[in-house]
Amino acid sequence: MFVDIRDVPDGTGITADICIVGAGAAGITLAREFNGTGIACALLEGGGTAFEDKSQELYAGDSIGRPILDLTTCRLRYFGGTTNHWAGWCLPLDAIDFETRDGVPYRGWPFGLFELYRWYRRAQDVCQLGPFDYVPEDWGIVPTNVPAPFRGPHFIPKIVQLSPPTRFALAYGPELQSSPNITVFLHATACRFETNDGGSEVESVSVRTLSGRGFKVAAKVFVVAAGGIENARLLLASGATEGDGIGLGRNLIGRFFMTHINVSAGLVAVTDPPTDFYFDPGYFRGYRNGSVTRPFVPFVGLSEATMRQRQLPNIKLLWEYQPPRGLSVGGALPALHSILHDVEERPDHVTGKIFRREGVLVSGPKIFLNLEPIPNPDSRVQLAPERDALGMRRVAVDWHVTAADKRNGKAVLRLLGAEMARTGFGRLRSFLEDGDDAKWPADMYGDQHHIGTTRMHRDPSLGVVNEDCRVHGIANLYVAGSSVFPTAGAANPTLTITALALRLADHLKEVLK
Amino acid sequence: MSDAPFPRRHWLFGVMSLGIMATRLSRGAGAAERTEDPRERMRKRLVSLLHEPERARKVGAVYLRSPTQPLAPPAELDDEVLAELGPEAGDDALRRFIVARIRRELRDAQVISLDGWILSPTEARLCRLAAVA
Repeated sequence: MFVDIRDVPDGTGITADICIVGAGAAGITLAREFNGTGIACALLEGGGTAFEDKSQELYAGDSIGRPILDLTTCRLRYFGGTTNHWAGWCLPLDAIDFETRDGVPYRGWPFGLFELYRWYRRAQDVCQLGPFDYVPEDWGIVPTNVPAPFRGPHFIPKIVQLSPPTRFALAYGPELQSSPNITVFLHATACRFETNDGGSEVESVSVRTLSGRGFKVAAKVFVVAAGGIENARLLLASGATEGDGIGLGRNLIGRFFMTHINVSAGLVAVTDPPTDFYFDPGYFRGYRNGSVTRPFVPFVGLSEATMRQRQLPNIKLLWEYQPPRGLSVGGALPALHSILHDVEERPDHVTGKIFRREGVLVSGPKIFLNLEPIPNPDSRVQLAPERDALGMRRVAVDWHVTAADKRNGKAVLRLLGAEMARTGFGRLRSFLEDGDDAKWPADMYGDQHHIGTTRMHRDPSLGVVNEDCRVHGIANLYVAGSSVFPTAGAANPTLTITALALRLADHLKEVLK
Repeated sequence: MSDAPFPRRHWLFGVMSLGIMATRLSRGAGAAERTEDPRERMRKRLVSLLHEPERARKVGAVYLRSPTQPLAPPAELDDEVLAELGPEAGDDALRRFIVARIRRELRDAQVISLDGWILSPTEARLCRLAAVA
């Protein structure tokens, strides 16, 4: 059932077994898992069922560190959340992304990739993807057709599966609307968790509307699923003193904020200009398996052995071909493109990509690098002094990348340049200048993957949530979304967000038995 | 990095020529050359390995102008080769030696960046020799 909370009398008490804050990929996935279970579920959505300027404005905040993408455009504040404009790139994290690493502090998850396998498989269905299979050969990529520098041992082909992309609101809204036990409250912004005197349990969450009404939602269990930045904002706003946060790991809330580092990183001078880029990483392709054509994007990554041996981060490398004269093409990144333009423009964009596919003579493609950041406690989301229309303090995002991130990027490019030269493929000109003090190229940016602000760790001195995604020190408060990722890997996060939401749902079903 | 403009086209051809430099070898040394200083003679022989010495010279000039002199060698390449192979090494031995060095450096990703281009140090030093020849 959908209820516009603005139609509910002011001050009405709302009770549920489970209260989920946020109706994006994580929140909707979680709620669906309780459909028909008899467990009363309240799903709070700050916006309505469509884009609204006044609601979206509540996302406004400051960028006080390195500039990040505009907070009011890289996220969407209405039912379905950011899945309303995501590009649909899906792949799981690699096994190495879960591991600790010598010399790299703060790395490692409380469990390994294998733990997530069964939920990843289910997440494939939720995101309307093909089988849980990311082996390039299984997608028609013939290893012998992959240019030598990308056949190993260091650089290897990988693939991203493309979701339609699933608009969670359209795909799963009707199911929630007809659910006997799930109530979606629209225009219901959660502003603060109220705990018991000892701070060990959440009793209710305060909800406000732009129309001036206020409510309290009481539940046995609460889940924050409001996005990588808003999760931290809400937990910070819930402290005894506003801004202090709650839980044993409160000092870490908002810290370790990460996005993937994106940069046009180099230019390739190909030895043999009419190189057959059969593999052509970065371009939309379809693989027909039986009667179904599954879209995917090949890209170049590092082998896990090389990442371990050389202490390198995970990466995605994509081409940016120099377009033929007169051909107008969109942005290099489909994900970015889909944010900058409406979804209706996507077919043209895809056509442009395909036009530049196999058979095009390429003499100078650029390398686009998507680089995993190093977890950094000084990169953080904080509360700003300014308040929004609901009286909540806005966010101030203090994003930092380190000299070590730049060294990592340069090390990747040096290895790539060496491999291109060694195999006779061509020569690489790196756009990352030498020296720790050298500036990043002007086009470097952090993407819309907001990660790490309520990181997961068994030790409350190192994490906000434990391995069950429960806030340390609070018996009934959980977090869903990419904010719990301790490391970012190079994978687009939605598939992992969905898998973790399914895992959390299974855990909560046991808790609520 | 050099402040002087250096056309990208020169870079491309200069750098691209490195990969096939080993296919070009001077075939034997004449009597006049044998009377030269061994070091000078070795320099000439090393430069003759380059497929396009003129373009390599331009790359080497950038190396020389580089304020940081990446991977500044402890000794000149000609001295190292002389120490390793001696002055009477044949052309094939010289070629194999240089090619093996370059391959080893590339395999180990022991590379330097010249104006952003990724080169093996031996390649860069060959270019430098060309520039000072």
